[in-house]
Amino acid sequence: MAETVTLTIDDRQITAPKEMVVIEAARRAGIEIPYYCYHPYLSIAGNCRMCLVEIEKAPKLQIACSIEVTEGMVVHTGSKNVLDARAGVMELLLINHPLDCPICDQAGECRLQEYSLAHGSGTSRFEHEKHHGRKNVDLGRHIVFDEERCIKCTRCVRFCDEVSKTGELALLNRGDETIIGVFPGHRLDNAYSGNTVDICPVGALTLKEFRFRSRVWFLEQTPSICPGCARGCNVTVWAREDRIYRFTPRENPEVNKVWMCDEGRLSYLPLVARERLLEPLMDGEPVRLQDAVDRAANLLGGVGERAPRVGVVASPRATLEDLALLRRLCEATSATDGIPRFERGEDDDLLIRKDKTPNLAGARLLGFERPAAEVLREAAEGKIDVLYVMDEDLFSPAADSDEGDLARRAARKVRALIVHASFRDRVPSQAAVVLPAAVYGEYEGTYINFEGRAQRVRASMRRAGRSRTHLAILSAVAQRAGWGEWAREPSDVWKEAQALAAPLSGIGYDDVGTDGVMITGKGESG
Amino acid sequence: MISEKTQKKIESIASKLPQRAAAMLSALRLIQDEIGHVPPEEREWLAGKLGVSPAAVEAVLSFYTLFRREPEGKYTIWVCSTLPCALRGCELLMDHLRHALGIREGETSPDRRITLKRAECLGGCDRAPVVQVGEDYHDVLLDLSLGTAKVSFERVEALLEKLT
Ligand code: SF4
Ligand code: SF4
Ligand code: FES
Repeated sequence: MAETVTLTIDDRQITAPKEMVVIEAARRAGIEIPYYCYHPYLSIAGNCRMCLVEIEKAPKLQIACSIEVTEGMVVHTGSKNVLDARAGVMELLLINHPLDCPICDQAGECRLQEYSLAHGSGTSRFEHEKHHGRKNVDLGRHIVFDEERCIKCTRCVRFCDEVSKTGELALLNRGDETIIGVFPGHRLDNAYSGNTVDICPVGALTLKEFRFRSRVWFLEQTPSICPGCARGCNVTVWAREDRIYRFTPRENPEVNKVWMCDEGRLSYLPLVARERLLEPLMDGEPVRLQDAVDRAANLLGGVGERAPRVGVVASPRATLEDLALLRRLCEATSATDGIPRFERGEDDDLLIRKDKTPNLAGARLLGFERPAAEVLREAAEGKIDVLYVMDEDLFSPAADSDEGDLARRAARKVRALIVHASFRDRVPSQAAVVLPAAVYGEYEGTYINFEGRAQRVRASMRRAGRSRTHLAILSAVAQRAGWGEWAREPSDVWKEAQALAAPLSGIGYDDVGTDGVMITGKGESG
Repeated sequence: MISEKTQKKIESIASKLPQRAAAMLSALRLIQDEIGHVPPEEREWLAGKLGVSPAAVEAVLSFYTLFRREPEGKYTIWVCSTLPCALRGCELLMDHLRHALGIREGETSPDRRITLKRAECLGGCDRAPVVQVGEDYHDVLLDLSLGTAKVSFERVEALLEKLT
């Protein structure tokens, strides 16, 4: 334990680590000091003055975001002086503010709004023309800037200097002409630019992809995990009526702090844009789910002489639970199995991983280690009769070209191809059976990130059409094939995963919780 | 691009300071002295030289009104507009200059001879309304002979004539 000091805030004795700033110590004790420019993951700027508090023996009010706790310090956060100062800060901030909340995206999650209500005066004494700025400034690929709403807290500038380390933004000019801006001809285009929108305490920076899409209070929030890469950033999924409207990062100091990358932030867009596969197909024709499951079971079943040679290609995008049942399918059919890699770019120093799948480590834990290419090659060479593919993206032209080629060759060669697919665009025409699979946001389960942290992904929508989770599909096939009753609830399947993977022993399904849990068998995805 | 000599000078200042970025103001001044303003290309060069982002150079450059981001005329007339000068008719003076030169505040005459700018206190209150051109004050612009503040158009003309 670090050295601590004891101080008094609003008549309460509080113990806090030495060097902690007063605003943090208060927050941990449940005392809220209002602030704009302070941010726990950025350097201290001390420019907004909203956090002024009274400290006994200090001649003037002090800013709680930069003053460190000391032994015996006595702090008042609600004295008359403090309240007057806050009202003064609010009045100053609102002098030139356009007050266009009715058309502002930040409404509902705006500190200026909240503090106006709590600390403002309700009227303005300013009688002159406000200083006007440009609205709708196209600042970057994803970012729009409204000059009039900016309160010059410099959080966005500090983010670009300290976190993304790209330094695009600066405070330009001075006095009432001060404005956030970029170097002439430059743009706010870095891989993490969306975070500036999250940390902007007002509606000055907005995200093009979310602007004017929905009022935030209509959206339901679900804590989940970004499926965009092996980091597994913790996110909040904001959805309404079975549609995802945005991802925002959710704090997890061990994984992503409070950040996420732009690619991950926008990774829900294809879910909305691509045409979903809403019903099962047999030889390209829509059929009843039961018929498709029967056919799949028939193709996979058979004993002795009649047993087909089965090849299984797993998906590093499926959950740990999905893969545990797939492992059982492999065992039931004595299948040979493999797992594809979806890699792009390079790992960076902040969050982004080149492995663009959220659960490769989980797949490896369940023994899916062989490269999919090997299974596909065997299939293309006629050594496999039935090919069972869990991830349609194997057939995408963007997939690793060798693998994509092999997959298409294998599809033509095998006697029967069974695919779990969520979208219409990649379904291979040769597939004997296509089972409509739920997409991200429709299922619950566990991903294991590249560091070996198990994290919980949660559903925020109902399944579309007649799609089913991988779990439901696999257990239905198992039942028809006569392999017995398989669990289909993630929490029950977890126990099966535990039986298959020793490092999971001793960890309950619910232990994964909202912050995730490290599992001992480290699953470095290399 | 600035001359090698100036580049070397900037390097020698930067290398002597505990933080290279601390050479910013001196460097911007040297660049402006040589070119007359600080063009974008030189700003980016300087950012690289001092190990900061181009935006950080822009921040300093735009903070100080005496740094120029755009080329200006051969002469820049600064018209003081703070209280004493305001009380003694600086707006009239500004109006007159605008008309005489056919430009707005902040602009440069088409012959690129004169740029007209508004200044906050130039520290010449005793001669209000004062204007500054280069390093000189000009305080002879007001005709007080009638006892009221009044711009002397002749004197303004005389000043403009000197600026060739
Ligand atoms: S744009 Fe937002 S984050 Fe940036 S300085 Fe203005 S108010 Fe702060
Ligand atoms: S770094 Fe990876 S997990 Fe994090 S937001 Fe980006 S894509 Fe998602
Ligand atoms: S939060 Fe302390 S000055 Fe802004």
